Amino acid sequence: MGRYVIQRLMLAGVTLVMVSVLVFSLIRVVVPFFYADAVDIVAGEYGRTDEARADALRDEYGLSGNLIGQYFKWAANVLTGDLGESLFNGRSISGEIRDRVVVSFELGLVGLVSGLLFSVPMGIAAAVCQDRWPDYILRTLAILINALPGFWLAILILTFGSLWFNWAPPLKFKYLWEDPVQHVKIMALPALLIGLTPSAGIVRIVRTQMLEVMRQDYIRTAQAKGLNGRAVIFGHAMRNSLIPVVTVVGLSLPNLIAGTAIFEAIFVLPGMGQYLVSSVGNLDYPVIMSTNLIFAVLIVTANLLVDLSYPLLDPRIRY
Amino acid sequence: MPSDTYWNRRLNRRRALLGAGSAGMGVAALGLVGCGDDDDSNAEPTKPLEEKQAEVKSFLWDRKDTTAQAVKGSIYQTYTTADATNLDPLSSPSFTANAWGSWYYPRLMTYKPGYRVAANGEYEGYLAQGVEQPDPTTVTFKLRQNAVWEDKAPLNKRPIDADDVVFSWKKFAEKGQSRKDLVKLPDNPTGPVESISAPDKNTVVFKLAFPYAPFVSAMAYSRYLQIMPRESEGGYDPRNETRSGGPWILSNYQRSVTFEIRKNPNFWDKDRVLLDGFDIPIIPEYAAQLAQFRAKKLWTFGGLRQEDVISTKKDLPDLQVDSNAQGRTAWLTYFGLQPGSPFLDPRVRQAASMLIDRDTWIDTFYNVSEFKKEGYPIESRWHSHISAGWEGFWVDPRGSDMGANGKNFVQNVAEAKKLLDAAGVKTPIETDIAWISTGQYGVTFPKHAEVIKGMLEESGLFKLKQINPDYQTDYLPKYYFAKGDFKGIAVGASTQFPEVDQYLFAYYHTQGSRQKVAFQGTNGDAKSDKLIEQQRQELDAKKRMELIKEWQRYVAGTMPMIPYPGQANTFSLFWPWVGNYGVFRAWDVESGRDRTETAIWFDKSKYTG
Repeated sequence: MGRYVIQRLMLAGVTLVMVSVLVFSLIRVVVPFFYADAVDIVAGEYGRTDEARADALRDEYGLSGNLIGQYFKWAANVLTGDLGESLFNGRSISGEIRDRVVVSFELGLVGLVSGLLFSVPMGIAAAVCQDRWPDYILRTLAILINALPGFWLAILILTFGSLWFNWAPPLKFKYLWEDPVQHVKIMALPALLIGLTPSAGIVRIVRTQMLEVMRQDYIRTAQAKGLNGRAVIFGHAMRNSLIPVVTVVGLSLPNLIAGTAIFEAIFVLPGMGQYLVSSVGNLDYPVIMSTNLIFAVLIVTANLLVDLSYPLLDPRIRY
Repeated sequence: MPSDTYWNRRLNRRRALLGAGSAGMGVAALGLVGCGDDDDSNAEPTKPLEEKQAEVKSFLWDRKDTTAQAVKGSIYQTYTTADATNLDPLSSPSFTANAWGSWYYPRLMTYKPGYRVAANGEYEGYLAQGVEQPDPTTVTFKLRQNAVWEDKAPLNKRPIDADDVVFSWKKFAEKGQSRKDLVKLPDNPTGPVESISAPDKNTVVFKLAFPYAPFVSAMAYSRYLQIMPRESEGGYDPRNETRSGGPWILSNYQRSVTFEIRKNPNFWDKDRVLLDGFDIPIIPEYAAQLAQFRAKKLWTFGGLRQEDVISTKKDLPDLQVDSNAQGRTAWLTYFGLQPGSPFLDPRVRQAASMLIDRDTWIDTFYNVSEFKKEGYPIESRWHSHISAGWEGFWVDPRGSDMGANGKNFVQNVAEAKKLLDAAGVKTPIETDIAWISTGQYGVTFPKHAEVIKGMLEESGLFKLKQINPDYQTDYLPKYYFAKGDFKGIAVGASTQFPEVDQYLFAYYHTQGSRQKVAFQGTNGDAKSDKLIEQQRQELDAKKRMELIKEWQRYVAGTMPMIPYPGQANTFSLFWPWVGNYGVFRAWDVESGRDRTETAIWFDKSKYTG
């Protein structure tokens, strides 16, 4: 196990280096060559009328030097824990991420947990009632939820909420430690909505896995021994059906954290999604590089944790 | 135009505006619940128009000045749509910093608000208490002596002095985004300002390269010279922190979430400020803005789409409706002038202009028929080569003042055909028409261009191939800044300037800061250049106005490009507890924080939120 973890960590390091080289090449070479650089985008039409100023900005932002040298400088800083500063406002990226990642992580985690609380029982119920009306209803519901984008539901809820109940979510964001009640009021709805769409897929995975496990010999043996249905389902079938679910859930957590931008925009939340989207919009290179690295770390870590969790769910799996 | 023509059938406003997916999910959501639709077949029986007009008149805001009853205090709830790139207005590469800076950094001058009517661009002292012009190229500003910076280190209520102004001007001249509009530089020899000096702590002297009529007015504009403390160089980080010298302080800024503005207790005229401050969350999504406004969490909603005004007012009868002043931007349809281009001949450009049905275009994009049907007072205006919102300067293409060239603005397909025949051009003219289909000019812009294309083609005199270039890689270098070196026609936006001269010079003068812009033509137009130069150096306001009118009459004939068809006044909604809403009206909203926002108050007796 220890050897396996070390191997995986080394591979993770290689993966992260490759991700950073790829992102750097894309935003510093490909995009400026085929599209525009940060100064072109932020200075817009005025920048094109004042080339001297645009060149001065490029110098000021450190964009006019040697590209390879710039990459190594960034990488060396990252290795010392310094993620750098935003090109345009000089703010520390580490500080921004520290403030924002808690919001995105909470959104993603609450969304995931609420989605699981909703989808796992639904999947099990659908499997247990296979090809009967509860199964049809639950599957239809899952497809329906899967087909409805969460942000669209959010807009509908806001629109109907204001039309019918004179309601709209609070606008003043508060961290949990500042004002727990206000925090829950702000975060509850977007978190639930974020978890809704992936939960539809999980319903279908749980159902399929449950059906497969229920057909195994050991389940038939358990039933033949006279165990009641509840004990068979929860004691024997469910645990064995969860391995693919854990894989999907583990891998979707980083996506949930990274994919909250539209909800953050609708509900006025200071999360990572907005940070990344605005930095991409302005081509704020250090921010893009560092946030991508953070997301890559999250994904690699989630992968590793998922793999390490398999032996806990199925003792036959060993590393 | 007969009522059964193709365009009256096709250019249905609703279809034009809602036909695009880009209109956003918010509109889709509103459409679903029916609140965006004012054509409801279950509506109450139609009232006579006179009755509707009387009803609208009864609720249309009369801009009553309630300053005498004003109670001080409270935090105004409003919103913004985008974050600031940074907070330094003199070096930021984006104007978002200027928009925010005008809350807390003072300027030498400020625009005088219109009192219950639209402002007219008049200015008055802000940091400057007096302005003198001892000779046509010297302008002296005398600073007020009771102005101090915010009570925060390293300034700690230090008096604002002439050295701050000199420091700010030098920074603007070196790093300001719009410096080329004002500063004479080696690569900008037509800039009007040569130098600045401070003979004493309270006096600033600008030396101009030539007599420049709009100079003092330009000192009121938030995108030019905002006065920052010299300690902003090294004493604090101006990209992330601010030190106020005006009526407001930025008390809290949470990136991508909110701005909190509070009253500055050390402002020299603090008794004039009625509110304690403003909470301004960043809400980029339209549906979320509308929902927050309807739920009374936002007190005003500046971005309300015109197609939502009538239905929102019907849903929420307590809302107040105000009629806004005419805007001051006129976007452009301009021509490729490569050798052999038909548009090198002014008759072809005139003919193209004559194919635009301006009233239908305005109706389509300003909801004019619908407002009229509901009894709202709405006025449509056609743009000349300056926007119809430049009161006093604008010549109405439909009026007698435009003279004979006014005919070039009137839709007349037969006359256009004659002009093309006279120019020896084979019709239909087969060429390209280009516009960006992405959102840099707003979500409605591609529809503006689409309708213009449709109008040109409907005549049968043009056969156009639509091109949607990428904004950064194609549109800006190959059309907008290509000096006419492209094929066909292009549709695009223009910048709004605080003074008509800056617009004329930048876009129409061959030496202007936008000298690469296509529609000036390769060799320019000597007469147009001369008129522009004369007006900017003419210190007599009436004579200057007449020169600008003469220029409009002239270019109405040469038609160097076709201005956007026109505009109508828009309407805004607000909750009744906003005291003095629209009573003191800003010339430029971003530059008006010291005069208009200070006059607003919270009328608790009307609050139902």
